[in-house]
Amino acid sequence: MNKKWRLLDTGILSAAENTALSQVLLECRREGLSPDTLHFLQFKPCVLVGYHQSVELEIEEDYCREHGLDINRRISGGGNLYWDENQLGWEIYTDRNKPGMPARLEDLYQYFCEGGVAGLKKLGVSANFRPKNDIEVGGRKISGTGGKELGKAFVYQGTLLTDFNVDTMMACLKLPLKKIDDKAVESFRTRVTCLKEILGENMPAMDDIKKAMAQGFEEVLQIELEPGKLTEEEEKRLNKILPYIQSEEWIYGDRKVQNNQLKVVDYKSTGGLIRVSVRVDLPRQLLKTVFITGDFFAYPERIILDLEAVLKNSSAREEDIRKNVQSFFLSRHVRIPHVNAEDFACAIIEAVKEEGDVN
Amino acid sequence: MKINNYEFPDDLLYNKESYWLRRIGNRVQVGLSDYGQREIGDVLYLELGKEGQTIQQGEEFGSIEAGKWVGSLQAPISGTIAVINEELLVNPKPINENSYKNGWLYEIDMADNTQLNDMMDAEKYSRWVEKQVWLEAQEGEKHE
Repeated sequence: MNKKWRLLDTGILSAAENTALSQVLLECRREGLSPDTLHFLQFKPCVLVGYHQSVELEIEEDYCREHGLDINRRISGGGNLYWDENQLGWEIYTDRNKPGMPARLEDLYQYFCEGGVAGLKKLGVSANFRPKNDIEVGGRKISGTGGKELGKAFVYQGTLLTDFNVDTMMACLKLPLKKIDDKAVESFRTRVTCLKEILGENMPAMDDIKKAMAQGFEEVLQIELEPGKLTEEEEKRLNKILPYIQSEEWIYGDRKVQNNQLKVVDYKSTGGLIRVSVRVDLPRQLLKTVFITGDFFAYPERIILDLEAVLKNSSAREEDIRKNVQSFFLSRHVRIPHVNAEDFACAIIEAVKEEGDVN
Repeated sequence: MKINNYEFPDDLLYNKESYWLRRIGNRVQVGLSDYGQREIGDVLYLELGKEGQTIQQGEEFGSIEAGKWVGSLQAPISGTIAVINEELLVNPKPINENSYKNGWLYEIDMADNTQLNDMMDAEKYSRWVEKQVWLEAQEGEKHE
């Protein structure tokens, strides 16, 4: 018999309310005060940074202020995000030591993402898990995920882009787009997709999307979801913690100085130009984002998007870039006439070495 | 001591949260074991608490992020944080590359050195790791 979990749907809340609620639900789960829960959430327009990120380095604050977008910090890891009411957030609250729960994080990511994948398939969307922790459709990201652990309890959070405005996202987040041309910006749009783009007129109502996603998680996690509400204790703690999550102390925090640089390079290979735009965290020697375009021909087309996903948050050291690019090409069937793995490695290494702009 | 490609120096103590402890008088240097750091993966960000902060054995403090997953550090022993490894806050790579040397996390002045009796030596810890690796392999097969 499948275990019963709570299905919680808190509707559209502010960034601070949703963040505070995530913290409360996680703490209550750790203390055994909350049941295992699948939580659907939606946000008023806002931008969020990952727990350890710096707002100044990740967010176009002036744009957000001018357009009334809230800024807040997630409790989970990962990168900057733009949210609005049209996107669906999902969260899973449970324990690491449950029977059947994968021990390795990489298995855990896949386990929960497969729940999202199953839900999307019910909507007629051919989605797949993409390591490390994304759900993609034809190579284009439709759901990103991340998690936070507290004691034996954890929350695994995901986004589902349903009707997404890429232009607003590009305007309010600091992305590796400056100094590159319109064609490359257009190419950047193809990195993400949303349900509306895929389903067009057949786009279901939000309630139906939630229903399909809930069924997907029920099947994969082998659980039975029962609609529930916040408990009195959860409500009480939410009201208590909210002022802190709304404060500058939480949002801007005491983050160690990070020094991101945006670097762009054009590398000429025999098969065509490879344009690489990277954001590098210099002290950590980390490739925060890598964006590759050019006039080479890649088959399948998605291979470049997958390479970018593999390189995100990987080492920016020359030997590691070379190793990671080579091993990616070895693990995949790639055809790019007259361009090889070494060309991509060299282009990225050159970009990292390039004099950059603080970004 | 080497086991399953993991290295566990004989002069250190270990616990089941995979922290190693190096005793220096009444002070203990703490880090993540080779097994612990590989389980976490490449560490991207770290918060280590503050010097002078009092922590209790088992208490969660600070934070550590790898692969979009944020976890807490757990105090292996009670005491007062004497020194934190500031360099890791800017560049945490040594945690993964050299966890027993410049990848140490912090030093703590012990409140109760009898807590060291709860720790495992390298041999006992190696056996425990061996079992965990076996269990993970079984679990991994289920999810493949």
